[in-house]
Amino acid sequence: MELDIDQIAVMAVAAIAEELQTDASNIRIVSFREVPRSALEQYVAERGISYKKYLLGAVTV
Amino acid sequence: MEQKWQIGIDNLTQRREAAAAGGGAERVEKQHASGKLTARERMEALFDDGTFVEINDMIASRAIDFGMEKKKKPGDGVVTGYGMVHGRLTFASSQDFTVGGGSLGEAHARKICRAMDMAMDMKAPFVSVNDSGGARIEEGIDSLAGYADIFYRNTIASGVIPQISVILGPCAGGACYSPAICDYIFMTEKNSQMYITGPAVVKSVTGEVISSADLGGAAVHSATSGVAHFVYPDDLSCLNGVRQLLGYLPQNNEDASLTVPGTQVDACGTLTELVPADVKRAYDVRDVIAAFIDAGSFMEVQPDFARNIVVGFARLNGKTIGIIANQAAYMAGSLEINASDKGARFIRFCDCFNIPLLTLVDVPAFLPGSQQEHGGIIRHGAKMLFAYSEATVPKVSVIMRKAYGGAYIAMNSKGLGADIVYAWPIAEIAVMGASGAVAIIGKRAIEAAEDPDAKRQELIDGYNEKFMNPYVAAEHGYVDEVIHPSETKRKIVAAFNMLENKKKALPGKKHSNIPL
Repeated sequence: MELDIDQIAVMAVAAIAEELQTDASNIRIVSFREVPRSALEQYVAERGISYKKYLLGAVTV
Repeated sequence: MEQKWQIGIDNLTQRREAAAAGGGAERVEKQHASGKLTARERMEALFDDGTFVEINDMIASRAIDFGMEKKKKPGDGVVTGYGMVHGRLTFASSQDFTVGGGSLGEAHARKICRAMDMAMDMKAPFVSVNDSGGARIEEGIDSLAGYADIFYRNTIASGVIPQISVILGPCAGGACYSPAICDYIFMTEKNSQMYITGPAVVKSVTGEVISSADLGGAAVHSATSGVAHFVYPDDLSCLNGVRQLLGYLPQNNEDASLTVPGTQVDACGTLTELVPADVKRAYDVRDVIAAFIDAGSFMEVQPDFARNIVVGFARLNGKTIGIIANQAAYMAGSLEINASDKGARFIRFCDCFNIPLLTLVDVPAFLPGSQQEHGGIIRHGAKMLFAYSEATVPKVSVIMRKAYGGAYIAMNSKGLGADIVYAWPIAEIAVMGASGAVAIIGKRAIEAAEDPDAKRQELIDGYNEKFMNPYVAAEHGYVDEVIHPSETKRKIVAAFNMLENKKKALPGKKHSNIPL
């Protein structure tokens, strides 16, 4: 699901508010910068590759 | 901003972009089309997200012969730097095939050496990603000197920091010897090749016509030559494999491995069903291993080479151990030349890096025959004995079924310094199997008997009753305890817990002289 910038900002504010245990109205966005996809992320996305970086403890039974 | 600042920053941006562009969009596209990642994408896949820091990104060749001053590119065909793998510092180099075919010249080598020196200074693992056409001919002897500098560092770092080579493209000629000195070699199924002389030279010198894949592809090196330790389908899965391996290893020879909590398993109650009591019947020893290690934690090393011995890393209650096990399902688990080399190298790696050893014994013999004798089984088999004897890490054995003759001794017997030796009640610890023994020691009695077959059987029964059990060895102190198979995990864990602070030093010497 592709999210637009407004939706992403709302989600980020909600997450920060939850972390700080405060109301979302107390959070003010001062600046917002979109981080471009890295070369690897782009490669994986363009080819529809199912890739997940190996993380310790990620072994499942 | 003052104009001078702006010019300086613009210049920097331009230079950074030039370095990051590698060999240019067309060559990057070609690299992708062949199913390979670029050098920087590989670094991104290797390291934890956002942690990779590049060093010497603007280093360039100083060569001017053959028009090299016009061909030089920032970075000189290799990306080097450091970052985190599982939150721990790791250094790496990644050859950029899009720049001059990743060929190695003086600056290229110097850059790799700098990263290796930093890894040694920081006592952190070093990973080298190889994708190179070989020495840069235009730079002549300086290219060769560059290789020598790398080989020297590989050798000095051996046993101090883990060194892993990842072959994701061609690796030809002298370049093969850096991976060969490293601890582990990873390859991919389609794009990796390693050979000292390529197909064209082979054809011109010997007349033999052979493809790159058949000469030095992953299938050959993983199953036949034993050069490669791990093979994966592509770059991404391969670099994930490197991450997985690093998760088992300490940062250096003075460090301990991470403890990684996992799902604990104790299915040792099933071992009497898994392992047939009849020593002639086969089973897969990997099922035995899975009955007590943390779920899914076994990472087998060289699974397709010398399949009569299984070696690999696992976690027991979250802690890394190295496992060496005879594989009854292949050549009855006998030891031969390749199994001896495979086992010995794994034992020595674990000993270098403080990884306790668990040995699961079910071995009938060293494989007999002229092929083995002429191939030097004496010299190769000795490596197993040497490696176990020299290893000072905790060493625990479980004798499951057969343990005969010299092969029994070679599989971490008490005499070679095993700390704890357990045996299951069906274990047969003897010089050889009953029929072989009776044929020698009962020869005259059988020949003199009226019914030789009956006499032979009588002697076999007597031998079996007297020697083919674990209790004689237990009485003589070669087995510490005969255990019920269902107790296996509990006993192994108790032994390793007891041995956790084991400290043993070998006599002072320059180095040992293992039979090579």
